[in-house]
Amino acid sequence: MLIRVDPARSTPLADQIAASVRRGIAEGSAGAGERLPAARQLADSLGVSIHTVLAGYQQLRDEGLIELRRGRGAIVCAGSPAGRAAVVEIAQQLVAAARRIDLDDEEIITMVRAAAATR
Amino acid sequence: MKARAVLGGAPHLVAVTPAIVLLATAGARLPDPVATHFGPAGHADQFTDRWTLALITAALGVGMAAIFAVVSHRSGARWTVAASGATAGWLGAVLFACAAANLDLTDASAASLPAWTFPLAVVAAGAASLIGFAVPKAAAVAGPRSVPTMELGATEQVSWSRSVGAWWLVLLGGSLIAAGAALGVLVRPGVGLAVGVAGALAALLATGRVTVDRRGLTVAFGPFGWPRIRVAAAEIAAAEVADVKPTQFGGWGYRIVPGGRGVIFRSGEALVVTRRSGSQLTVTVDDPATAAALLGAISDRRER
Repeated sequence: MLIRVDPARSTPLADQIAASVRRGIAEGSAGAGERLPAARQLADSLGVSIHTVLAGYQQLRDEGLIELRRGRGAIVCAGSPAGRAAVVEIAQQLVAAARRIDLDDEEIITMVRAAAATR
Repeated sequence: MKARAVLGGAPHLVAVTPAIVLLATAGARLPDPVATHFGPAGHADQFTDRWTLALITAALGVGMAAIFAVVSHRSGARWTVAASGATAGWLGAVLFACAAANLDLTDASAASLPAWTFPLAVVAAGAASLIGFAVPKAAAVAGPRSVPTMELGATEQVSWSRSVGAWWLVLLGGSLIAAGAALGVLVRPGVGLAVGVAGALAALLATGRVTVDRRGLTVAFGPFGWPRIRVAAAEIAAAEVADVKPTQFGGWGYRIVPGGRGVIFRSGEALVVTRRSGSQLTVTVDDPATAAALLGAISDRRER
């Protein structure tokens, strides 16, 4: 699991951490059940605040990629985490493309529903 | 490797045999119940019937034989076979002495451990450990390969980490803790404590996390991240990748060998970090090429 952050980039550090972990899961370098580094250790390792790491981990939990358990740390979810991480990345690209042409959230969701209905 | 499993397991089966034979054949000369546990002064303080004691002794022998057969087979190191011989010799002597202490007594509470118990145990342990020399010597280490360094942005911070460990070492540690508890109750608290502590250490060192970042290489053991080995970035002369076998390090787990140290959980790809002093730390970990590439980039950045 390779986690890269660059404070010089405009993307928030928490998003950069989440993106790194997501990439690792998508590429299979962290499989189901793999334990992520403890938030405190990763914060020390990267020289960032523990709140930044926790914010990144919470994003990943909301995306259904990891489980956060008190005292047990962050664990990659069972199932097919690599496929799920790839879908989350595509969803982000979809939203980014839609935002570039000023589509609002409702329109994006309508489009996804329409696409899902044809399959 | 099969020979090592046999060499590792057999001493325990042999060691419990005298005590079992004595319990099984000397029924007329043994009290009922027999003394099974002796206090610090060597006087009997716990009792059971002789067939139960024979069964427990046999189970202990089979259990220890199984554990050491697996460990010797997986490790391939001669010291595991030597350690099996030593523990078997010790246990065999103590178990035999416990049974023999009951001979020709009508009341087991009069039993006391013979004075020859511990001298015999030491001699038996020493002699039986020589079986380690029956194991062929370890092979030489193959040269490590260097890898291209990773591209890093000027302000970028990177952290690479992987969990490492061997489930069977966790199992071994757990079994030793259980065996220690059983021995503490049946034989002597001190013997049980020694085995239990060895088990706890094995379990603690059976898993860990390898981290590479701006500070260098860190290997943190166990669920608490302690104990910990760190090689500071400033100390690192080279970070490379090699294929290693546990036999090169004399076994599994945390190893000290001529020229360096190893954290060895399996055979295969490993990260090899050479200090400026020339000593090496070898860690078996998945994807060591990324770790080596990152350590190279971190060293380059420090030198700029």
